[in-house]
Amino acid sequence: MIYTYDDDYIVGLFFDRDEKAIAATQDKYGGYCFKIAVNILGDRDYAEEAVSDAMLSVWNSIPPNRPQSLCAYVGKIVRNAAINSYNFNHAEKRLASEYAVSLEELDYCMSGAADSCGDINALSKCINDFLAEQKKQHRIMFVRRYFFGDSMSEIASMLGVSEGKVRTTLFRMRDRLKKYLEKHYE
Amino acid sequence: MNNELLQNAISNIDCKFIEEASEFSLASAKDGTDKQSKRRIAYFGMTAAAAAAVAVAIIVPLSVSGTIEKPNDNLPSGGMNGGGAPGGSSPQHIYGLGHTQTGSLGSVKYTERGDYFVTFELEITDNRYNYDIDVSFENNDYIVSTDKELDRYHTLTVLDSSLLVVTVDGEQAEKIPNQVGRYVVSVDYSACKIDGNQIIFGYFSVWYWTYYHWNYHIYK
Repeated sequence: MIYTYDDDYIVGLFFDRDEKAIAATQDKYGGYCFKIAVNILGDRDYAEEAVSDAMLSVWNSIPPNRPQSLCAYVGKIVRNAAINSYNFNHAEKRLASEYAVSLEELDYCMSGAADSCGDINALSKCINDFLAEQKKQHRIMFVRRYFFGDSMSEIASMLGVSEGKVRTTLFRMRDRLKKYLEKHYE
Repeated sequence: MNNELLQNAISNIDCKFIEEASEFSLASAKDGTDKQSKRRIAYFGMTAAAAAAVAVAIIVPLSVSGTIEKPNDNLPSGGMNGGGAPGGSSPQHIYGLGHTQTGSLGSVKYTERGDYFVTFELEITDNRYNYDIDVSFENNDYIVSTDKELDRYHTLTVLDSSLLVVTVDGEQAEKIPNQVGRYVVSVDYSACKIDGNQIIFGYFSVWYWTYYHWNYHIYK
């Protein structure tokens, strides 16, 4: 039987500088992290390296950080590690990953008014405010697609809906987001 | 659009939304299966042996002889459903002929063992993921696997994977199937020789893994 540690306990291990913290984090979130990384990188070896780098970053950042949500914290760190690897290793060519495709989708929706915005905090707040107003299922689709880099078919399968519904929902969400950003930055 | 700005903005999505959406990736791993890649990378500060010992396996009696066999100390520690507490102190599951091992991804029924080959019925029931299915053979000294990138941390001598011949439903195949369906898979290792001497493997293991989790089962 697998014993899954409580997040508070795992964070406590980090604060105690107990290396079991890494194993416990890997045990609980390893697959989740690997999925994020491989979605972005489209390559298992690169993904493993990104997850390994992320675990080191988690070790080095807790403490002093004490994340409220270890799941989201680790997810963000591994996502950033994977994106760094993506940018570093594939500057000259497009990588055939879902992440690359999803970036193109979002790029289209965000071009225009938001393009002139150089303030990451303002843009992030806008996106979060927008997401807060969406139906839960739509929001999950958006986050799964553009944060986690899942494919349309994977999202459809997770939510028990058709792939067509996912495509249509995301298409309409991107359109709404575009209008939301244009209104914000006009 | 400034791609870096865009990437960073998405990275800053509120944690509560990430957690809300991550329930789906965690839910797929809540059936007791481990979530780690079998190609485990040694963690900083840990030895490779300690890292490999994070996953734990358990012993059951052989279904044919009814006796409990002492595990081979050189077998890799890996759980039936992977994972477990660090330390790897639990005994190992070793299944005998005729045993069917069912997991969330499908099942393996070990049906035949002859001179230098094994046959099993493989059923894959979950079509949501891309799988890798591999078979590894080992004894105290050597290991060989249909996986061409064998566990880099294994301490045994790794043989050339091309020495293994895979047959699926009676026909030679490049690899073991990883799509939903039922297959009769046979893996022949008669080409595994050292200085002309046939190697005999005590155990074989079937690995199947996805991005979310991996399982492997050991048979004798």
